[in-house]
Amino acid sequence: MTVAADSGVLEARNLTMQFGGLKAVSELNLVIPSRAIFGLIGPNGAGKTTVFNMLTGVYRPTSGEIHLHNFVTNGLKPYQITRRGLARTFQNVRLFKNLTVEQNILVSLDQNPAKRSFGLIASLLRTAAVLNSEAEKKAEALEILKVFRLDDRAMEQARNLPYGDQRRLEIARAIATGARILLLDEPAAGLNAHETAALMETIRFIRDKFEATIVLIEHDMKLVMGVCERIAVLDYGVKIAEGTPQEIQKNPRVVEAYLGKAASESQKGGDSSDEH
Amino acid sequence: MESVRTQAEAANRKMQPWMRSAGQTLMWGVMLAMAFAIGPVVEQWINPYWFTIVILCGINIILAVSLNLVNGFTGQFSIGHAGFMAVGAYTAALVTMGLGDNVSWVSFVAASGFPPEAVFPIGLALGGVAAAAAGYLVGMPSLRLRGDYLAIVTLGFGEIIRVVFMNMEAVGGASGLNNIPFFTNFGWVYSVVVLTVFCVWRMVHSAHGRNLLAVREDEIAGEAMGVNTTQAKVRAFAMGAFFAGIAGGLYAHYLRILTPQTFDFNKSFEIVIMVVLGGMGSISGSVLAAMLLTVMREALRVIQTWYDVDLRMIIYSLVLIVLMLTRPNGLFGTREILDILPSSWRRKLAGGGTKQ
Amino acid sequence: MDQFLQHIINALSLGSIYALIALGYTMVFGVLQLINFAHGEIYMLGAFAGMYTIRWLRLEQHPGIGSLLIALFAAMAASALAGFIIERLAYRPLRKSPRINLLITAVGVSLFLQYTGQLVFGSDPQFFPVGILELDGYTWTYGELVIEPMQIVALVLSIILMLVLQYIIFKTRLGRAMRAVSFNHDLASLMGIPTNRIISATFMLGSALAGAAGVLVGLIYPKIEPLMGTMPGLKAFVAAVLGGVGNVTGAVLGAFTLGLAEEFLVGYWVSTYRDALAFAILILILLFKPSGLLGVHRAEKV
Repeated sequence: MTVAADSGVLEARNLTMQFGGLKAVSELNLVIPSRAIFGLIGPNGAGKTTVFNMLTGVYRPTSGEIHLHNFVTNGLKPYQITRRGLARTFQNVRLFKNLTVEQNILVSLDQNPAKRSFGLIASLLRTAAVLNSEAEKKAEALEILKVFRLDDRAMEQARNLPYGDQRRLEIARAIATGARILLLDEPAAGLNAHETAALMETIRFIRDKFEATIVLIEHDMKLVMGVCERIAVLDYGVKIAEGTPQEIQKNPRVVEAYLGKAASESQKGGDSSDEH
Repeated sequence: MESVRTQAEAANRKMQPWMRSAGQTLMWGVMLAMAFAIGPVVEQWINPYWFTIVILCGINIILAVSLNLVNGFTGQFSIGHAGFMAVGAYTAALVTMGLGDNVSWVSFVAASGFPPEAVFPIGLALGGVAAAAAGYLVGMPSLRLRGDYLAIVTLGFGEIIRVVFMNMEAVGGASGLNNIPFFTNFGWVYSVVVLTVFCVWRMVHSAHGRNLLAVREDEIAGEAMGVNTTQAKVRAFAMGAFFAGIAGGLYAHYLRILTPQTFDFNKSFEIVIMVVLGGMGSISGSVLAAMLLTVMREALRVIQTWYDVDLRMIIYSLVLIVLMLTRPNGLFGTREILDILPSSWRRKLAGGGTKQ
Repeated sequence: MDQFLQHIINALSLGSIYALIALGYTMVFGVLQLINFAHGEIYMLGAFAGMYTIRWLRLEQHPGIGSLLIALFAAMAASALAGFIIERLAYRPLRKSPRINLLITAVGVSLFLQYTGQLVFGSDPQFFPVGILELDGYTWTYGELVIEPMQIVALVLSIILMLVLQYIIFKTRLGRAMRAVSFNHDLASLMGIPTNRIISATFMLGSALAGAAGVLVGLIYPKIEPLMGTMPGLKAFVAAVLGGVGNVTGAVLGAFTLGLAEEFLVGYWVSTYRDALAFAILILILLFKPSGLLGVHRAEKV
């Protein structure tokens, strides 16, 4: 069940991503302790999603290193990184829409390194071992779905779930890969206040239940300040602050970065400055 | 009451998985053997005209189901299936014809007391393997390409394969191969049909198949969940091509002549339309559509004589356009015929068809 | 040396025709992200429209550049109309469906036109009335070098058309709207650009160029038949990809490159592999530089 959960440390060392002349992220250093709930925040375009894309192997960093469980993952493909214990969710939910909820989980379980996998021939012949493993996976899928209160919808097509359920299914799917470091990309986007509160519970619960480490990008300051133990703030691709929620709220550089934003946009930025 | 039954079922399931495994596979084996058993009977009963249709139906089923693996289940739009068919056809023909008389192993087989037909399965298998190798080659670029680009690359590969055969003296160049032995019969065709449906069905209902479905649904999400999408796609291509190659071999040993023109874009297109009509992602849909279009084609041959034009292609293309505009999921969508039957029947019929 | 020059000249005239077709491909791809498989058939329709115009108006009795221009404009108008109808009936209803459906439809339209063309025009090749220009005495020879006047006419006309297109795209309101639509549909319609009308216009413009190519090819290779569009259509697509799909200058560059490559393959090596060459180039370019010679690589958004 646990894939090196206790040694689970994710580190970025001098991580830089350059698109043409634009430095989307520069010289970023992050140390994410095992079983932390870590927030990555910053105004729009600060480079948060770029960081996620580098950590998950979608982009190859221009320079710098990523250490996942003390292994340098630069140059690995996304699927290899997932199998090494780091999985993600997407900003705009990307489920396997036409598959059932159960199948969504099964796809991940199939990749779980802790599970036995079978060759093509064995699968075609559907040997006894294959049948057993399928039955086990289905049972486990149901267990995971129960944890996320989705078990009664197991046979429904994922596209038919309400939005909040889809978001939870995405997290469940990431857990099912066996990865214990989860990157959540704006998990509260599109949720109402009630659902967001429930999500905060879910995040803490996952951390405790699965001994997981959670890194999240979020604009919703209530969620970030409420659930994260440590927060790093990005602005124009540079880390301008890191610390506990209290420290971050008092940090003048952060306030400045967000005030500039508050003038042009949203109340979210306002939240953090109101407290001042 | 309910719980007692489910408990009994669970116990049954736990008791002898190897027996369930063997039993299920045996069922397919029996079907395969049946093809050979009833073959001679069928061949005696029906006239040569209908025999041709029955054989072509079978070959088209193999082609459509195998293409569905790529287009329907993996979501990669290939329109060069005829190219793989050509590779299989030429390879199989070369094998059974004794590799251009250079190798006398055909006569060796004859001398050792086996019927000459014994080289046929070897030829078919090698044809399948050669086509799979070609499929692997085409699958490789597909790792970088999406949708439209992949389509045109597969089309290009199909054309390249055709041009290469046209320029190969060893296979008769543009005039093609003649005097291929007549080996294809009902038994061979329909045993391969059973084998194809078996393999594709089991494939898509296995963990490997779920990878293909994940690629179809959302490649980026699949990759992020740990699916080796490249491997999945290449596998689908190679397996689809394998069966297309065998279908080519069957076709060659039925027609007895092969020319590169047989495997032009129209042939590929014919297979695509079978898959689309039946429903991309529905095996039974492909089977039905292949039969329907094969029979329709023969019916059209009558009208064909009135004009000097391939009316079939006009109708096919119209069907395709109208289908896309009005019912883009084809006859069955991603459902199987079992899913469409009333649920009471379904339970009796083994309860196999899980929704894709 | 003469032979070398000869190949260059052949390649230029061949390339100019690929370029005209490729431009339509690239423009349509720009606004719809669709490979319009039926584009080669529009070019075929253009050739037939030109031929029938010449026949019906008896333009052969008044040979000259004026008559040629009449035929050319008639062909362009007919092709534009065909492009308009196809987009309206077959593609527009699918604007919101999966791209694969659009692609299947495009393949269907292509085959429908090919075989309906056989039904209407007959499947035997017909001769394009090249007498529309009386240039028999003007073939220019220098040693082994032979320059057909038709080649020069085709080259000059296609260059003029390309310049006109450049002007339309970069200097007119329509062109600006087209560029806006190809940048982002939703954004463009938010800005008040009538997206549908612009897409129609793009189709018509691209189709008109293909129609012109049909007439020009009729002048150089006077045998025309309903299946003639398939190969040049695919090759023009290759040219478009080679240059960078969606990039107008790239399409022209790609077309001339492909013309040269084909001409030299046929001239110095083997002629029978001619039709395979384009696809080989396509596969190589997609593998090693998918954005094409001039295209800009766009990272996929996650």
